[in-house]
Parts: sequence; structure tokens; C-alpha cells
Amino acid sequence: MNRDIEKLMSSLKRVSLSGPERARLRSALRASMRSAPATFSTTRRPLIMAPVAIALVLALSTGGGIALAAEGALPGEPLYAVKVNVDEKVAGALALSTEAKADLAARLAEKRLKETSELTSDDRLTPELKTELRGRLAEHLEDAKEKVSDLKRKGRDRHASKVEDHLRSSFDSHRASLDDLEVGVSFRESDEGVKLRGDGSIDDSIGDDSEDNSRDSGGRRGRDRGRIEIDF
Amino acid sequence: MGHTDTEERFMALYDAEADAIFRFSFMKLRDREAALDVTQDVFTRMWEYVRRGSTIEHFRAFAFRVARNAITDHVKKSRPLYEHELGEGAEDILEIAAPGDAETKAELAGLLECLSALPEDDQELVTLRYTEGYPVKEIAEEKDELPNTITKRLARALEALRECVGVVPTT
Repeated sequence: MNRDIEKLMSSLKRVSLSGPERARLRSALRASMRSAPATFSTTRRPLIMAPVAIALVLALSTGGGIALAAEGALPGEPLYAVKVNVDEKVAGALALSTEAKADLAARLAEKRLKETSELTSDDRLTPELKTELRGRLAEHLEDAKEKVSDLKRKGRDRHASKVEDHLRSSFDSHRASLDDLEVGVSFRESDEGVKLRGDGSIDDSIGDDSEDNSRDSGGRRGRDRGRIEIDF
Repeated sequence: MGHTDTEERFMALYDAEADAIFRFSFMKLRDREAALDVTQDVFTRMWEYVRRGSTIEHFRAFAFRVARNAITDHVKKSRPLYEHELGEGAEDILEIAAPGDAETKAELAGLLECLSALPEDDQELVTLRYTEGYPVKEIAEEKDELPNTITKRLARALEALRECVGVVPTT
């Protein structure tokens, strides 16, 4: 083969959804939205958040003091922005290996669950804070799932199991918080399809067909409405 | 029935990113129907994340992460492709990329196999840079990395791909 790799890769840009495919997916997405509509208006709030420049300037101008003080901050408190947008970003940048990234994702997921618990104890878990925590937790769990898969692909099963054990322990300790945030997590124990639910009970449905049999008009599988479900 | 502003803004994001997610899914699965399933799955999950007001810092980067996980889930449930095997609809896609050019189509098929052998992060980097055409600086910002780090990783990934497909680099 003598063709330039970059040119070959760029030729794939011509590939796109066909008109009917795009319309079909759009229609299915609209159907999902009708069955699980938005509960929050984003007229004055962006769907995509820009980095918090003020928090960054504050952290940089005060050296490490502000960053340290931010560690215990909870959602809704002024230093929380520093915690998630500075401290945790720095930690992310320093995590170079897949193991380190996986460990970090699990730690961050645990932090979000602890924050949920603390806010609930203080009766300060407002609907707005709940949605913020839910979104952040979902990102950390998707990140953890991705990194665990990467570890298993690389044959680093021991570390993958360690991360999964950490997550299980977090979920066991903060089951009420998971329920509050409407996030469900399950772990696949073996290739035969036996799964443990987040509460440790066995989900003994075998194979694909016995799970979530709802299908949309296009014949594609639906998902549980109202809950974020993440399978490890 | 009117649609809320949240829904309309989300559909705009779908319109902007659906093709990229579909292409990425196809490149990893080499099966058009599977790529369609994954694309729908990704946006359905993304809707679940945003519909209650959760903010996502980088929508595209998060969508690609969700896509990688959805692809992993799909692969767990499906028979893996054999070496040199292409899934349903793949020939049509290669024809779109290289119309009427059998040699290039074969090279593309080989390249996709080699791409799947790269580390997951590098597969995504190569796709974002050379298929989607995003600048290094933008990719670095989404991934919280230094641009120089991304440049080096891209160079190593390209080298690995060249070695796999047997390309003599042109200078």
C-alpha cells in the first residue's frame, strides 16, 4: 500500500447518515424525548458549559490555598467550582496511565456520591443540585467504564477488578444517593451473562433478549425511561 | 405540541454531531446497521443526561466517550468480525469513501483493521484529527491535554498504522 494514511482517513469524511437514516434516528430520538421529556428549561442556562475562568483566576492568584480549601466544598458552595474545575482537572492532567485514569474516575464517582449524601443529610439537596450531581456522576461512571474496558483489553484484569471493587464498595455505601440521583449500575460477572445488580443481588436473565425488550418503531431496543443505567 | 427549548437545542447538537458519531462507530464496528444502532443509543443516553438540566462541559468529547462505551457493549453482545471480514453495509460505505476505486477500498478495509489494533484513545485521536479534521488545539482542549502531547501521540499512532498496513512514508 502506497497511499497516504492521512488521505485515506480523510476520505472517510464523505461517509454520513443517509437522508432516511438521519430522519429515522431523529424520529426515534423525538419519541424518546416525548416519553422522557425535558424537566429543565435551558433558556438561560447552557447545555454545554464553558470552563469557569473566574474560579481558575482565583485559584492561580492565591496559590494552593484556595485549592486546598476547596476540597471539602459541596455543590452550591462558592469553592465547589474550584474543586471540580481546578483541583479535579489538575488531577486528571496528572493521571497519565490507564490505571491512574481508572482510579481517578472511580474516586471522583465516589466523591459525587458522598456529596449527595452530605447534602441529603443537611437537607440541602435541591432539584438543581441533584441534576448537577447526576450529570457529573454519569460522566465519571462512563469514564470509569471506558477505562475498565481498556484495562481488560490490555490484559490488566487485576487492576480492572480492583477498580470495579472500589466502585462496588462506593455503591454499597451510598445506595440511597444512587437512588436519589436515579442512576443504576450493574456489573457483568461472566461472559455467560450473569450480572450482579448494584445491591449485590443476581440478575439471572441470560443473554440479550431477556433484557429490556422494549423496541421502538424502528425495531431498535429502547432503554429504561427516567434512569441512567450503566453496565460494567 | 410544542417542543421545549432544551429539546430544540439538543436536536441541534444531534444534527451537528450525529454523522461524526456514526462514522466513528462504523470505523470500529465495520457494520453499518451496528453503527446505526450505536448512534441511536449514544444520543438516547445523552438526552437522558441533559434532559434534567445536567450540564456537559464538552458535548462532543462526552458523546465520543459514550460511543466508545456503547460500542464495547455492542461488541460484548455480538459475534466479533473475523480478520478481513466486513459487516453488513460496509461495502456500501467503502464505496462512498472511494467511489469505483477497488484498490483504495481494499486499502481502506485494511486500514480500518489496523486502526482497531491501536489503543482506544489513539483510535479516537486519529479519527478526530484525520477523518473529522478537528485542529490539534481543539482536541487538546477537549481532552485536557497539552497540544504538544496530542501531536506526539498522533505521530506515534500514524507510525504504528503505517507499519501495520505496510506504507512507505512520503516526505
